Order: sequence, then C-alpha cells, then structure tokens
Amino acid sequence: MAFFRSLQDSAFTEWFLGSASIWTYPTVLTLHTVGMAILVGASFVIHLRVLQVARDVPLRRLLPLYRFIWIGFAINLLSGLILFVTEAADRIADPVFYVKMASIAAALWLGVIVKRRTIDRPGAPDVTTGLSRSMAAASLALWTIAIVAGRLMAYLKSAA
Amino acid sequence: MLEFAAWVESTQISKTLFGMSWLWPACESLHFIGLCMLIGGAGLLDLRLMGMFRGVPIRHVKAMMPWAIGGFLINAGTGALFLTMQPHLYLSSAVWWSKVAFIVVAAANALFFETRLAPSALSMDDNADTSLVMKVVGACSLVSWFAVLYCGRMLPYLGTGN
Amino acid sequence: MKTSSRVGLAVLGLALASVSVAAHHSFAMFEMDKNVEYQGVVSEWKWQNPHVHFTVDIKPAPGIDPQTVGRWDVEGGSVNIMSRQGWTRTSYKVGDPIRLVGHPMKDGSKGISLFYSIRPDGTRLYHDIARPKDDVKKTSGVLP
Repeated sequence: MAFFRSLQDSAFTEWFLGSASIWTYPTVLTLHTVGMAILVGASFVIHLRVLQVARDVPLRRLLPLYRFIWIGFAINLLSGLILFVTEAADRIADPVFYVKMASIAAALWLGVIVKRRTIDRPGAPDVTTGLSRSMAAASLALWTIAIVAGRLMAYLKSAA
Repeated sequence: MLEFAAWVESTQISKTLFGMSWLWPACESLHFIGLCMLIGGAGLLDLRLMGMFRGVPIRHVKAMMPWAIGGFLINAGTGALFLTMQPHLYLSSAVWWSKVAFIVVAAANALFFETRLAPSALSMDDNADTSLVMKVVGACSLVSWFAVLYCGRMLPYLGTGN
Repeated sequence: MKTSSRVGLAVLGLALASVSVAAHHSFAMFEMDKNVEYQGVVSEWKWQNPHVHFTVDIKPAPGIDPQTVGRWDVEGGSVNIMSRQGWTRTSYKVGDPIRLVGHPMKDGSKGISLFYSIRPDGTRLYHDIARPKDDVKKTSGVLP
C-alpha cells in the first residue's frame, strides 16, 4: 500500500496532474480513448464476423485487424499506466478498478481463444461453431463492462 | 447562444433529465460504446477503400455498416441528451462546434461515397487496387471520425468558451 | 441468441454503474440554477486535473449564513481551462480566506460546484468553459 501511496503522492503526479499544458493529462486521456476505439473497434468487427455478421467475408481475411488490437492495447497499456500512477493508492482500493482490469484480461483472453479456434486452425470451416460464437459474444460483453467500469472510475475518484 | 442555453436549461424536460443523476454517466458510457461500434464498423470499410484486405469484395465488407450506423445513432441520441441537459457546456464552445464540423465532414464524405463512388466500388474487380478517390474518401472518413473523438474528449480541457 | 445475452450483460453493467454513481459526486447532483455565496478559509487545495478541488471551512460569525457553516467540498474544472480563466496553482493556498459563489448539492450534503470566486479586489474568477460573465438571474442565499 505504501508503494502505491508513494506513486500517487510523487512529484511526477503533482507535476502531471497540475500541469496546465494540453500535452500532459488531456493528451494522455485522449490517447486512452483513441486506443479504446482502435482496440474495441477492431475486436468488435472480428467478433461480429464470428457471430456471422458479414459472413461473406472470409474470417481469415480479417487477420490484419489483430495488428490493430495490439496497437490499441499498447497505447492503452502505456497511457493507462501513467494514469494509474497518478491515482495508484485510490485505484488499488477501488473494486471497480479490478472489475475493469479483469474484464479486459478476460475479453482479450477470449479473443485469443476464438482466434485459435477459428482463423488459426488450418482447414477449419469458415462457419463458426456455437462455442466460438458464445466466446465472441462474451468477449464483446466484457469489453462493454470494461468501458462502463472505466467511466465509473472517473466518478469514484477519492475526494481526498 | 448563452441565453438560448439558459432557456433550454429552464425547461421541464431539461430539468427532469438532468435531475436523474444516473442518466449523465449512463449516457457517457453509451457514447463510448457507440464510438467503438462506429469506428470499428466504418473503419473496416474505410481501410478496405484505402486498399487493405484486397480481394475481399467491398459489398461484403459493407455488410458491417448497419452496426456502424447503429453506433452513430447511439451517439447521436446520447449527444442529443447531453445537449438537452446542459447545452451551456457545448453551445458556446469552439471545440464543440469543431466537433460538429468534423461530423458534417464525415457525413458529407459518406454521402459522396454512397452517391458517387458506390456503383463503381461495388462492382470493381475485387483483386484490383482501389482508386485514388476511394483511398482519399476512406482516409477522410477515418481522420474525420478520430477528429470528432479528439474534439469530444478534449472539450473539458481546450478553450475557454469566452 | 447470443446477442441478447451480450446486450443483457451490458445493461447489467450499466445498471451497476448507475447505482454506484448515485452515491458519489457527479455534477448532475448539484442544483445548477441555485447560486449561493460562501465565505470561509481554504482547508485543502488540490490544483490538479481532471478537476481542481478544494475544501472550505466556514465558521459561525456575524454576516455568515448559518446554513453555510461547516466544511465544504468545492469542485472546479480542469487545470487547463481554469488557467485560461486566470486561476493559478497559487490563487489560493491552505489558510487563505476565500469568498466564492457556487451551486450546492441537491441532497443537502456539503458539496459545491464552483461558479466563481471573488478576489479581495472584487474581481471574479470564473472556472467554466461557457459561463456568462453575469450571474444567472435565479439566485438564492446570496448575502449582501
């Protein structure tokens, strides 16, 4: 706990949150939104296809979208880490933070499994199975929960 | 503008909506979800127009568009609610009007595609490279929607409204 | 159909979000068309994004509205916009007297959404991105 408190009370935090420049807090926050749009947007398209939307598009052809998933994730991991440092102690004690992190981890994990069961299997038919579809739907639901949890965190900022 | 905003905020509908304290945060969440649907769905078509996924017929990719439009409608709806509840936050903000301008650009670009480019796009050889005009239209769409995102997210931090 | 379970989960998530939010500060919880003046001493000062936040201690005294006595949480705007409105990190510090006008919480708890502060020379420091320079005509609790 003391470690997280020291992060939140650090000189970096005071500088970063107190800076009137748009290149600090506002830019990091906006990058986090951009990363979300890319990450969840790409996941959304892939999972929709697994759920048989636009089924004329061979699922395998959507492979390049995974590049965007990882780009979006990288942007948000980095921007998220910076934001986390500035609120480390509050977040560690916040159950909603854990909901968000768990949802993201689960959504990504399900996404990887779906990929392995479909795109990655040589000779696998393009029509997806019920299990893959359930996982895709669950992944989308988890992204939704992650987004809602992220928004909720903004309202649960400790007043201290 | 400010007088108009003050008038809107004095109406019963505005007060009732804003009085439901859960509504604003719920609209924000929905607005984020809508933008992911929009940028994901439209982004796929835009990338195809820009030459990615060569070999996949454009008309097949377009089948994702109803979901992108759904995302847009979610955001138009939640946006209308924000405007009804707290218009003073937006109507006097140059950043917000910039956001509106970029939405208009994105919409005009989409309309241009639908009316002028769609016939040739939908019937072109799937393995051919897309034309320069198609690439520009695709890029313009992506850039515009990200500009909309930028303006929206930066609203509490840019400008002064004065 | 799987889409419906996805929608159901999303709705559940939003419902959970709404319930929790009701217990905490959202600016939808302030009476935005009520302007009240407060005079006290700054007891906490947080010049930080996304919201500048400070607390004001108000003690009973002649001329002080008894309903304003206590410790109040004051919520401002972003550091960026407040800076452009004339605020600085050192506009106030702990121990400084402060006069401000703001919107109290609907539920009566001691929270204020900042409208403007009144400097010793009488000038106003606004914080919002689009506030009129004059008071909105619906006012209550303003002391002479």
